[in-house]
Amino acid sequence: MSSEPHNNQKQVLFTRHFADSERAMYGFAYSLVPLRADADDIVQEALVLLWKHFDQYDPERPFLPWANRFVYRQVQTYRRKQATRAKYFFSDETIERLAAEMPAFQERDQAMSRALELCLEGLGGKQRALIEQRYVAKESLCKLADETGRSANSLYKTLQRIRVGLYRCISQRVLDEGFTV
Amino acid sequence: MDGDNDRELGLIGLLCDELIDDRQFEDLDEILLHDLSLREAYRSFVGMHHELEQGALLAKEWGAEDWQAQQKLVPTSRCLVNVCSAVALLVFAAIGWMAFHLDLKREQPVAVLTRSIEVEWSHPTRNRGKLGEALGKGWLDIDSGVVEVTFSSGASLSMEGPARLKIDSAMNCFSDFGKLVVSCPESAFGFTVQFRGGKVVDLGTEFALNTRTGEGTNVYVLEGAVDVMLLDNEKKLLQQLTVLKENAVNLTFGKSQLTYLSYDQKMFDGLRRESLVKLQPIKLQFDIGQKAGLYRGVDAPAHKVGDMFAHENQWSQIVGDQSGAFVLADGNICPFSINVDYGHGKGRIDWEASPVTYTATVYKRAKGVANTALCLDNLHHFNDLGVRISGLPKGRYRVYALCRSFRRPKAAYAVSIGTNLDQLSSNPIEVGVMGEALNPSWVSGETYAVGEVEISKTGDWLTIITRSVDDGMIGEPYRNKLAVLLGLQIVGLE
Repeated sequence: MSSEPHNNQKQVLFTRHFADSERAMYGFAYSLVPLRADADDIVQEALVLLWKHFDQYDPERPFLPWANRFVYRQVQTYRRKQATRAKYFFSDETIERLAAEMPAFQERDQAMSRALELCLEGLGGKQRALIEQRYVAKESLCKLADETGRSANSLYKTLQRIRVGLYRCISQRVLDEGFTV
Repeated sequence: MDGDNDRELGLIGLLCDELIDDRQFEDLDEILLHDLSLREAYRSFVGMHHELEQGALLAKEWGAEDWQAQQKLVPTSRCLVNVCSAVALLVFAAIGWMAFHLDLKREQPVAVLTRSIEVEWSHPTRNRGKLGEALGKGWLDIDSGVVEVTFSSGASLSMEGPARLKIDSAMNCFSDFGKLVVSCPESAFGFTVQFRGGKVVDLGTEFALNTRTGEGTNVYVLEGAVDVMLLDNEKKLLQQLTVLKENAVNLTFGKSQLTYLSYDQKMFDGLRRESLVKLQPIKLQFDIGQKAGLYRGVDAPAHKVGDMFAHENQWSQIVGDQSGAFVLADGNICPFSINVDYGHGKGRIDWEASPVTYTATVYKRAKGVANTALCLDNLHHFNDLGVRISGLPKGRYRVYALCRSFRRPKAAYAVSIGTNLDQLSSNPIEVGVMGEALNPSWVSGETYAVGEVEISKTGDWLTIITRSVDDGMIGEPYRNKLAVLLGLQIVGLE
């Protein structure tokens, strides 16, 4: 019985840390494992590990770097498990470099999220409509091509041009905010 | 970033859209490994892509309701985790760390994946199932092929890829897109399939759905009747209609009325059970002997080694020569007319001989693996004993012959499994002395013989012949020298 209050406190603390760091943990996983579904699996498995090892967490230190070590560990485990099945996994060396650079990018990533919102507002009507079809309605390019009477290839090129434009807009805004790497 | 990295951004875009080929991916890996600025670009581009995928920024202007409706149809684990975060304090207080397992493990099983034909799952690890696997609430997502799900209510649903389905309970599911056919026995009366903009409720029937993004859902009633309901985006009922056999209607989200369509039954012929049965290798199992009864169990060798699954529990009893329709292991009617012929003889099997059985008594002390309905039953003979089966479609079969008298654990048997045999082959399979008299599990070579057979032409007999080669009961060398065949499991191979 005496362990219950302690356990509740632990749960509350853990939940608070996780809520603060969730977005960054997913961002970290997405950067190492390009497919969203794989990254989701990895973060969820990392969460279980985090909870199991939460007693070892030093509350004096920031939670995110500690948590991301588990994400990174899970990426490696997942990579080994999926070695013969998964389509896209970077080499160990590339993953190591991406992981090592993560802390340096973290604040800038938050700025990028703000910048994206502003850059989306700058899109023309047709451009925005295409982005919405792709990302909100989640329609396939083939279907969109059918609807618009264009070839899927041409439509894809247009979509990619819009994304590159967005990316450059974001990068410029982030640079303007004084973030450099 | 300047315009010099268009090619690299193109590769990153292809990766985000899962359109990148192996060579391009290797190129990208190499570039990222050696170029810090491109790693930065990669992180930014992928971050932007995922931010857009979450949809929240776009939803502000696109319409929160549309976005929410769409998100309901896209049940990523991320969605679950977001929900988990928001309510985590409450959840933790109630169930502790199990909250993290929301999407790691399926909930209580409500269905079984009972058929899987040339299936390409949409993702290597997610929203998929294995043949025979129990399924809880969750998504099934296929690019091609056909799967059949049998719900614990008794309803069976087959769907053809590309298709996406969410199992909600034993009586409810949600079709995101794709073609499916639902067959409901009485036990599943009221089975409901929901889709965007409506639902269809079984009234004792077989019906089909074709849901296409942007074009709504077509409902075809193949047998019986269904209720169809057109709903608005707040799930308010706009129109309800009872649709009878050989009628079809279209329900499109956003429209205020459903419309009748021309009925085209052929469109779904390939998804109906009688067609699906013919598409897959057959599995039959026979409970053999003078005391044979319908055995509905899965404690048998083919199940143990994974050639049959828990839902394949139907045994046909064989008490003599029989022919005609048999029931497949999964409970469907075998689409082929099967003949079973008994025979026995000294050395050469006389297939015209009448079955002669030893006076069997139930061995009450049966233990371990022997303690099943199947193994308290037998057909045995002083001569060599043969059973042969014809009518099987061409193909390769794995045969499990349960030829062991559990009353005589030290006995040994010779078994031949082949085509068109009339005597034991020169190199029969040995079923030796049992290592453990009360063996708790099936052991190849002790409790059963297994062999593979090729049926290459119509009329080939798949044949099993058994002989007792050593009794082991001191002082009674002849009286108990009995060939034994308790059961047969025949598994068609892909």
